[in-house]
Amino acid sequence: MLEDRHLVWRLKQGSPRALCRIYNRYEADLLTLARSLLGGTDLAQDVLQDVFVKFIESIDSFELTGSLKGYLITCVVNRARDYLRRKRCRDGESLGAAQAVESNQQGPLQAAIAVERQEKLITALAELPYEQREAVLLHLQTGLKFREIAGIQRVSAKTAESRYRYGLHRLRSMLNGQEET
Amino acid sequence: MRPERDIEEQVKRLRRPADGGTHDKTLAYLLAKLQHRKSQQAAGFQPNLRRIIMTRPLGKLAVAAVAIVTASIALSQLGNLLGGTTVAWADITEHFESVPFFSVTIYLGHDTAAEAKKIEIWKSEDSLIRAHEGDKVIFARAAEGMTGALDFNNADQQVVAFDRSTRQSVEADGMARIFLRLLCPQGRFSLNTLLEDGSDNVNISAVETGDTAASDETVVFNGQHKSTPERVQIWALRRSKLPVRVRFEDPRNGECADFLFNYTEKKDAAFFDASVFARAPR
Repeated sequence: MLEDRHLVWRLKQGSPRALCRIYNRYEADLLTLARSLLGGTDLAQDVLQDVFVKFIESIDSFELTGSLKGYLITCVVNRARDYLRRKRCRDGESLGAAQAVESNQQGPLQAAIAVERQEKLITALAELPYEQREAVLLHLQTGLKFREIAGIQRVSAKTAESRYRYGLHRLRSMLNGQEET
Repeated sequence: MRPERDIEEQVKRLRRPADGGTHDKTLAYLLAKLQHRKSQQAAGFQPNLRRIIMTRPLGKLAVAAVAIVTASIALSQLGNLLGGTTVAWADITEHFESVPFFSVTIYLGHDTAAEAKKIEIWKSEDSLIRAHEGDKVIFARAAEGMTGALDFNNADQQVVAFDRSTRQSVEADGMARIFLRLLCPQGRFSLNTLLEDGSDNVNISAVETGDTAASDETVVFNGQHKSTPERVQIWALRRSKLPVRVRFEDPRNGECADFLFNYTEKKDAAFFDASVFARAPR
């Protein structure tokens, strides 16, 4: 938190190193979230870039009141929604090819199984209603608490948790259904 | 049937980082955006270096140090573009004058082998002064009936001094008094007011320092006396635009003076009250 404050302050002074530090620190989490929310790799990269450009442009008036990661996550979520609205991306479209991170550490057979499982998961995530997908991803991938998710989704914490539970239950049904077939 | 916990773990591990090429490309684009923003900000700045007139030859170290500091600080339009953030002398002097309280510790060195002489000065929000020099504790405040702030050139000022250990009244002389008179001759603490005490022409030019580890946070101004090798260096904070250190050096004899400013230590009213000090048990 203190380091984030320091980095934001340095970025206000125009420090390129501060920008690199912030970007490198949060890029993976934000990109993973954007890809999971949007489905397209290119779209997700565009969202991430847009978020950081806006962040740079508004840095003079920016005041860090919570965590920087939380702020950037909120920006990504809002931007992803805008993209979905504008580009009429429909839930259920391809989420893009998964990169099986685990595959490098496993044998070819295990790697292939891992990739297949990830692809199934991505497909199942894409079939979730958007609010449920958002709740699941925000809770599991970014570690946000339900009250924080509630703030982003502008609903009560109970509703956010319900969306998460319904989403997870639905994911489970879909994945188990796929495995049984 | 896969349990939900298993699915939760799988979603958590679903990380898809950017490939190296995309990462570098995006970061380069963002850095260019940042640079563009800095250029736009810098374009609005017009540095205006000017010669500073001083009206007194640099004699004793104390006066010389203050005079050069004054001349440096009086470079009111001097700017520094390090790190893309503009800091002008006018900003520094203005912020220094508006700061509610501060303390300054002055170290006077005459010989690298000898211990430096230390003087401490505190200013309260009400412009009350307390100074420590050796065994002497000095208190200063406006005389009763005076509405203005302190003016150490005015004989009506109440300046009293005590021996630190015995708390007996002593004469309020010494270097601290000189510094106070130079720092606050017209009723307010100002770095600019020091300029008005000189009589010699001094040309001091600013030197832009390199991009050092601390250059994001601090801005440094270098000054050089026109006809002597004496020089001064001033460090200020970029964000608050307050001076934190002023160092004077005379390479001819190794004399130096360091002014270290502190803006975080707020003393209570009793600290500045001479009668409280005098009454306190020894």
